[in-house]
Amino acid sequence: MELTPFHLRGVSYRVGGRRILDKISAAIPARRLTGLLGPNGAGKTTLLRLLAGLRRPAEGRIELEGRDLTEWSSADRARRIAVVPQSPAVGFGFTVEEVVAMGRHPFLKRLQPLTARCRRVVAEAMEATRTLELRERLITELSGGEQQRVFLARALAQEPDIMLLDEPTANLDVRFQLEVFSLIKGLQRERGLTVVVALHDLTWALRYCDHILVLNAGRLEAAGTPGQVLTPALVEKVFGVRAQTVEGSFGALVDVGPL
Amino acid sequence: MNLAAVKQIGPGQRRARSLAVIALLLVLLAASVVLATGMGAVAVPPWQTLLILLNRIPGLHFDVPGQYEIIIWAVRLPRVVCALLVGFALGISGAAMQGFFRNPMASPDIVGVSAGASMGSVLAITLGWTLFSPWLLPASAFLGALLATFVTYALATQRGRTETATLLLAGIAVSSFFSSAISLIYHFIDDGVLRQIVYWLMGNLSGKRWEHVTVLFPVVMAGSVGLWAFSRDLNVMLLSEDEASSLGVNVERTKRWLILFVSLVTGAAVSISGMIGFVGLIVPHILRQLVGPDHRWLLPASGLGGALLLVLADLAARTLFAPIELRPGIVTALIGVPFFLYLLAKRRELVRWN
Repeated sequence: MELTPFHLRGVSYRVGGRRILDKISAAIPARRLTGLLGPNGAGKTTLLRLLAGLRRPAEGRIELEGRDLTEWSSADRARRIAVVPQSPAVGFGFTVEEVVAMGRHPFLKRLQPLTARCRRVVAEAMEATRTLELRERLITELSGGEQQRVFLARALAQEPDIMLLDEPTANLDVRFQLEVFSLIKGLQRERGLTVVVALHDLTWALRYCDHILVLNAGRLEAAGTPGQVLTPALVEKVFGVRAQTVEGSFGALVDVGPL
Repeated sequence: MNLAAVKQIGPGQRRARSLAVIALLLVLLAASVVLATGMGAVAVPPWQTLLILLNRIPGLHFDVPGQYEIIIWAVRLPRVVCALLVGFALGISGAAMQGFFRNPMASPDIVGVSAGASMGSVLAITLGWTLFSPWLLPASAFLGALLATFVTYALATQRGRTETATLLLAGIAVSSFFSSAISLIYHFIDDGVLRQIVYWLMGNLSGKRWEHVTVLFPVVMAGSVGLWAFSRDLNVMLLSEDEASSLGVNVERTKRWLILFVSLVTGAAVSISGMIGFVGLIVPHILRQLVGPDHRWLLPASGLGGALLLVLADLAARTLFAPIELRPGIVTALIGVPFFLYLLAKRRELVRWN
């Protein structure tokens, strides 16, 4: 396995003439948790969609193991990369188990029922995310935190080695935020996953990420370890707040205040 | 990994219930076919009808009055089988369209596909193609349906999402366009053909013969099997196109196949029966409540439900005011319009369905 599964080479993306991403070049380290930071509208979601192969760059290329991502078939991609979107669609009355089993879609032929192996993978994914007991509940009946765990389980059911998550803790209260992040970190370590997660909270970024990319107005502002990147100068420049890293009793945190 | 947990995963209660619903529909459908072939100007007792049908199985022989056999076999049964196949086609394409458009208000008639198919059929009748081959009528209906589905989809869908309001408006626009085109044709044809067309357009199953079944059956079955083969893709596409794509579905290619199969099935149905509304709207709705959203069960169940509804609607149309024969489309509309209004009233709730 290469050390950097993803290489971004001069990647730009436009929507109707407006530049969303501007010549981004970066490498995503393998088997690490990479945080994608930046203010609203910086292009985090767009970058994740490009990494997921859901959009094509207007310029430049994204390589997954040296091959242009746009050349991968959707099924090949889905066997490697799992995506947890920011607000996954939840309607239509599928049960939790049915939603998680959809993670096996790229492994099955048309009309092929779940294999014994599929069932094992689905059960493992649900156990790892503690969703097994929600199995027969309708996805629409669950709380936000429970839903998030279900979509995490679906992603795990794809047996990916790369996971992309878009603000997995948006709209969750602080307990669920902690729960989801420690779950993601635990899974990442245990299974040696390459994870890219877009997030807003600088403290979570500091505590859980191994590597950080900072986007600002579509440009890559900084890349490196949290310690290198989350400097007061950078946070002030990108987010327009004053910040300092302090040691709290539960770990390091980023203390922020107005300029 | 605990093994008990693995054992739990799998088909589960939903499959058992879906199978039960499908079995029940099959029984009801068989009963309604026997009932419908027996009833009419000359009433044939149901058990006699059953014996006549069973007589066709090699090795079986029952004594039944000869005139019954002719009425059942040559007159009534082809009509009932046509109703069954048309209903199956409308039910299954309604279910597929609601999934495809990710919208519970979609159905072949509302989206304008039936109008497109009508236009194709009218063109075929007007140009006299039906004289050359019985296949040219459904072929032409298929092309009309294809065009209509494509146009509605292009008009109503933005970034893979179809708003209910936009869908209904696009459907109205497409339907009106094709209806106007049909009216335009009226000006250029003589009365004999005009009568033939108007009679056909009103939605009719009378006078259907075995040759209609020969055309209808293979097309409807081929299209239905095609749709069914995509049922898991439809399930995943219900979430969102991006999610479907990240789960390995080639969304654009899948949509093209679905449009093709829906047009095939709807086109064949409309070319035989004319426009019969609301079957494709009501049936999938009710069956979704019973079998859930999984298209592997929902598609066949909706087909069978549509078949049952249309066989019974046609029976009602023939017998309620005998000797006056209503159009089956009136019966389905009388049931369907209130249902449609009820869905519209519930729309706020339905929007959350997306």
